[in-house]
Amino acid sequence: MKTQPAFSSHSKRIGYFVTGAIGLLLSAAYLLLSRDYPFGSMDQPGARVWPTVVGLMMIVASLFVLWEAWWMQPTDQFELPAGAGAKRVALMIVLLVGYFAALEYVGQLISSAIFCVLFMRLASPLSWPRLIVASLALAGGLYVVFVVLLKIPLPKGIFGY
Amino acid sequence: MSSFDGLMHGFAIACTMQNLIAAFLGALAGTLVGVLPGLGPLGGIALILPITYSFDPTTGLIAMAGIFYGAMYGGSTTAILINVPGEVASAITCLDGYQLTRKGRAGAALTIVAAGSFVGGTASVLGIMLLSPAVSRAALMFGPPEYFAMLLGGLLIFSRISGGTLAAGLFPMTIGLLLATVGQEAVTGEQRFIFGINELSPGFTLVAVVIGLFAVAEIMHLVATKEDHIAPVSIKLRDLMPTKEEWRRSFWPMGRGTLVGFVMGALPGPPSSMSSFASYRLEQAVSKYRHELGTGAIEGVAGPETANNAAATATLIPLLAMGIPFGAITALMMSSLMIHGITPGPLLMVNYPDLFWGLIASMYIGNVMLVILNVPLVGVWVSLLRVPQYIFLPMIVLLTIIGAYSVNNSMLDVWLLPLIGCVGFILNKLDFRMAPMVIGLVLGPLVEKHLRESLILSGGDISTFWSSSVAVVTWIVVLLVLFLGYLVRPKEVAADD
Repeated sequence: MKTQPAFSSHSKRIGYFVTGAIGLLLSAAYLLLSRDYPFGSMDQPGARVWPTVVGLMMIVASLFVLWEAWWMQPTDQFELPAGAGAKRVALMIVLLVGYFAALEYVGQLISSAIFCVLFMRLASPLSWPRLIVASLALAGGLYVVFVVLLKIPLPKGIFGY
Repeated sequence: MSSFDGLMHGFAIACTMQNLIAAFLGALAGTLVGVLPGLGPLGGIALILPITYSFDPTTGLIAMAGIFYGAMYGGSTTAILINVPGEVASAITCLDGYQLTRKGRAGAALTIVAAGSFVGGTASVLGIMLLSPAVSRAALMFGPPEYFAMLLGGLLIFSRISGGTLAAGLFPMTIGLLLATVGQEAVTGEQRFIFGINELSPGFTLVAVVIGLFAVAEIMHLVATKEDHIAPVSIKLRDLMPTKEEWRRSFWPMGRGTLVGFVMGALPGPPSSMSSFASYRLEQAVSKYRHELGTGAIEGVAGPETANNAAATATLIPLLAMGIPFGAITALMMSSLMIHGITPGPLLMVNYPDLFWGLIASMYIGNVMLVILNVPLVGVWVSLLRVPQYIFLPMIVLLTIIGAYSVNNSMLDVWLLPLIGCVGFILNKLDFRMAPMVIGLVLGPLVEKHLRESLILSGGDISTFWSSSVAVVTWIVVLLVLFLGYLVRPKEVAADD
């Protein structure tokens, strides 16, 4: 059976065009939003002066991105995750979102242990019992170091830890 | 207080049990961060930074500096043993370091690296001690227009020479400046771009942005690749001693590396990576054994590794003496000091002598600790490379969450991680440089403050920005670097330091 590649190549030139265009849109929106703040005068500059400078700098930078895209070789490539690689990254992001959502409700210790079990399942060949032991050791160890010893406040959730 | 008296006072501060432990733990954590491929010094410091907030500022800064130069030491271990640099500055070390391993001289190379790092680091500390008072006195004469020129000029220069094309540095830098305008602005206290989200009032949290850009983006890469584990070679204690010939051949490269590193560290740019590349180029030009470089010559390890440690230490000069961080790591250090209400700059040495001299003295002690940690314990670090990725990755994920949340106890910072991580991951793949974004985020508010103060003090006269010789020289240098530098810039220098 053929294994799926983790990355696939894309045109870097198109990547630069898209980035430059996003930069231009972002800077235009930013300059429009900055109109809500007072410009003041040259001797008493208001809160809008610096955002105006930054917005203009971003337009220039975005134009440089487009300029470089224009002169770039069409053969230049960049890699993004594809196939199995993309699946793993997408799963990781889903796991992270679930973990963050659970963090405030069930607390750092329990949510971290559950996250570790699922994350390791994604990346390791370990059996379930080994995964659970390794996850508990990892989440528990970090809890002891940061919460118990260093007294760093972390979300406690309904169980209090 | 003379420099000597200051140093003696500093040793009294640095030798307290609390500060010795901070230096040791910083050096230990830094070596760990450097040894483990993937997590660079910047991501590593960002993860550990929130812990230092609970310390007093001197102890926190000592720990952070330890992580910084510890990572420079540790980064070379993987470069030599498995041909994978632990951080960017060690990339050039792979060329000769790995060849030395294949010749059975890995232990000797690691010892030479530790010795060179010690020489470069300690000589640079001496340079900081001697130069900082003079630089501070000169900086006292600067007004808002000069600071504006140096801050914005430094940002532009950094984004230009941090590797890649002009747009690759400039574009992320402007994103950093844009992010820095979110939240309460410093001059009138007006809230900007917060869209009714009160948690955005203090602005984007630097630690969350750095962790997202560097640590989360790297985790995404590692998860996507699911790289095979590389088993490093074993090192026995008796293999660690270099021969007399190797010591002799390392002497001058270490001297040249110290000089190159110190000068480059004090200037804007990615000091450590640039200095190690520059040192290697210098060895290619002047070394008696230059024909052996690339095939396992000890000069190719001794020079660059000495240079990157000298540079890492010298970057503290502009931070401590002028309050201008010329690198992303020193920008993180500055933000940490500012959380404690301390603004680095020309008056730091006068107003906070304990902090300034305590840090300088701790760096001498830290360098000795690092030699002890790195040479006899190299076997321990090598064994860490055998920790499988499926244990290492979830641990880093948990650390990123702890790091991001603990700064403001804000879930918003945690939710930002995957978002910033995705942006960093894609921009990284397109060869954009992330370090200028971090410096833009840190320096943005300062540039704005000096811009507005200059206009107020000059009654709105914009010629104030080029009315002094310091400002004129700065702008000329910026123009030269932006446009002439385009022609002579080294191609393979990356910037995450």
